[in-house]
Amino acid sequence: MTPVDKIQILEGDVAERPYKSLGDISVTVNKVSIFNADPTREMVNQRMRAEAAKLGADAVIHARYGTTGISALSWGSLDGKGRAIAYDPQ
Amino acid sequence: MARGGQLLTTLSKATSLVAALGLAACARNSLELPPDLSHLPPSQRLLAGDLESPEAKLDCAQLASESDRIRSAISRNEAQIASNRTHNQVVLLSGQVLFPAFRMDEDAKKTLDELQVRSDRIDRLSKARGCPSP
Repeated sequence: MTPVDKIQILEGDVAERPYKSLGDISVTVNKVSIFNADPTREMVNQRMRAEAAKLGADAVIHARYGTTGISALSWGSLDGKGRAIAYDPQ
Repeated sequence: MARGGQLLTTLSKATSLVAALGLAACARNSLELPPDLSHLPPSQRLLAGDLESPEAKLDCAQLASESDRIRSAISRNEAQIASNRTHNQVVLLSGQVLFPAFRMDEDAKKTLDELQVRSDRIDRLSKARGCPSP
């Protein structure tokens, strides 16, 4: 099983290796108060890796991000989506 | 009576301010994921319309170049949205509450979604043709 910090985050598809899809992931990182720093893509990636790890994934493909702004529950919110995949055994 | 009118005007301005701030500063959600085509071989992972798109006429080198161009455009739009957000926060915190002081970025957000759609299409076409990874 791929360690969390080794799970790849890819913006496109994977054509070089066969894989199976494990499920779509959607995460949101919020800042607690107006004085905290805005969430970053790396924070979103870390959250996606954590969610992908729960599914036993090797990578997240089609990763995409929103843009930071206020939301109903946060002074700064950034979301990301991706598809968790596991490579077929070679 | 006059005070009541003033109160209503103030409330109206406050409502406009909140609405403007909401439009100017709200988060943009990432675009929905494309359909899962992983059951198909890479050469067939295309969506309806991909082969009729302008990008379908491009060769591998041109697709790579267009992909770079889209990436740059995405960065520019994101930078503009971030700049507007900073500006709007300064306006709000400094008490400049007039509507025109806010910078709206709905166009940039819409453009980002369109660029993401094109980027996805270029990725599918590149992979379907077996183009080398950049």
